[in-house]
Amino acid sequence: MNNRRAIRRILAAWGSSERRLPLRHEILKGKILASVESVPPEMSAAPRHLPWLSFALTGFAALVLLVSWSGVDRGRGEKNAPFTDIPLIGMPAAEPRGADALPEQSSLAPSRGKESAPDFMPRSWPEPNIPITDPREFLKTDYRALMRTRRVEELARRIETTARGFGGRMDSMTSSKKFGFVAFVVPANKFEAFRREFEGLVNPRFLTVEIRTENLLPQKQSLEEQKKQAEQTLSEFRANRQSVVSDHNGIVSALQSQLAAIRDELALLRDEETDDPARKAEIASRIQELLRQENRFTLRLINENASYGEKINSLDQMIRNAEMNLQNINSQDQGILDTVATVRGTVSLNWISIGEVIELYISFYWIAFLFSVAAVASYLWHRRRSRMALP
Amino acid sequence: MPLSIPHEASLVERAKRGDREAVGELWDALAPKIFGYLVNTVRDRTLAEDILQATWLKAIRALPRFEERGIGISAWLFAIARNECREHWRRSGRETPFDPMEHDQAGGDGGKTEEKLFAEQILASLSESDREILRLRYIADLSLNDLARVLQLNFVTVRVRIHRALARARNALASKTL
Repeated sequence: MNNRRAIRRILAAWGSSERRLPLRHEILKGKILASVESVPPEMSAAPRHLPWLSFALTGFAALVLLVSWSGVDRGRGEKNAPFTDIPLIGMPAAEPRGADALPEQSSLAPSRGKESAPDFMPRSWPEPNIPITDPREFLKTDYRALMRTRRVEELARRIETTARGFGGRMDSMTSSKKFGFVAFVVPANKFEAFRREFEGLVNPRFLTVEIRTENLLPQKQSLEEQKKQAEQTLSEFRANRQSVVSDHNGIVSALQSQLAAIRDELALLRDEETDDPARKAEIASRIQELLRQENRFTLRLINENASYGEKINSLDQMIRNAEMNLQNINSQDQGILDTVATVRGTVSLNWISIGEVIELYISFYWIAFLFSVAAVASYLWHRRRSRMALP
Repeated sequence: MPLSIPHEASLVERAKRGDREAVGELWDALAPKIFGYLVNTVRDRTLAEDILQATWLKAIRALPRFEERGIGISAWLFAIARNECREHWRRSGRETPFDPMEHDQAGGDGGKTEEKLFAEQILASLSESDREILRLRYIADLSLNDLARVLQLNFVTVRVRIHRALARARNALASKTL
């Protein structure tokens, strides 16, 4: 403590003893005072040093805000345009987005991390045609993704490899330096694993995903109803055919038995030998009658055969049509099952500029904010500096 | 005779308008401190006089542009003087002031007391940055706030530096008295 006081005292004494006037004090003072007179009057109106850096930074902040505001609407449209226009395989290219559109159960998957949502609200309400008593699910899943990358071609190849690695099938792939498109199908049971792998290919900030799930129960029920009706129709046709065949056989056998009886009687009458003219006349008359009857029955038999042929052909054709209809329904049913067992996916790849990358990490508002902070800091620095503006 | 703050402000205002009497008063009050500081820094009386003159001439020319804003005229003059010293060292090919151990002690001032010599011995054992801050504190008699402005440092940093410089000076004092 004593040392502290002592050193302060020593230094204070030293400082005070060091203060002195120069030997040429009067001369120097005279020179200085003489220079006071030579101060030009206009110097008293000193030019103000404006904080140009602050102005520039404020201008940048305003510019960034303007760009961001003008770019918001444009950006919304442009960025999502390729995404929303991606045609799903077997789906219409542009789906209606109106108030009466999108009836199916649709879900936007906010996959891990930040994603920019498409420009429509996903709506979900019960499909009116699905009976609530039927708990079955035939879920059709469509996966759509928009990836933004600096290396489009490389990423397209990696997506292809990933899809194939999960037992998937490539349906189409195009890529250039700026844009790319990949369409694939992967088994539904491997979809989640595939999705994890796929979405790990890029940072979540560069990925937008839409997953749409639709229960195909109405279609399935419709097909089941159609199948039931087709089978019923087919069995009816087959029963009709059987009935026609048996009727025909009965008629033919009756006609043939009658013809046989006529022919037997004719044979007996022709074999009968008599000299009685009355009997001969009677036999001749009877033979004529029997021949007429034979002709009539023969004609009926021919007509019956012809009618039977027409009916049976018609029925066979109807049975074939019904069988084809049933086969078609079965293939549609299998199609639904195949659809449910797979996930169709499309990926749109867009090249991203450095500016857009920065925007993804720091929004324009943050950049503007940083510029504003820098402007304020610069102003304070300028103010401090101007306080000590040295000649 | 130290100037009071309002009196200093009024002198500055008058000097800005070209009042020679005010400039003369400012000279009388501040020239000994500045000259003492310069002599102790450059270790050459003639050179110190030249720098003192250059400092004042520059200050007089720039005085209309000087804005008080809480900074004393003395802090401003010391900042100019330090700049002039640096300018001189740059011109003469040196970036640092002379080492007092290698040069004459304060330009042939014959009447040094024992205490003053003792203080100079203590200061000689310190680094140049410590000596500089102690010069500005004890010869120039600048407040901590003005010191911060002159050295372009934070107020707290200046305080810490002075504290450390004094601690080192105390150690030197202790070692010399033992």
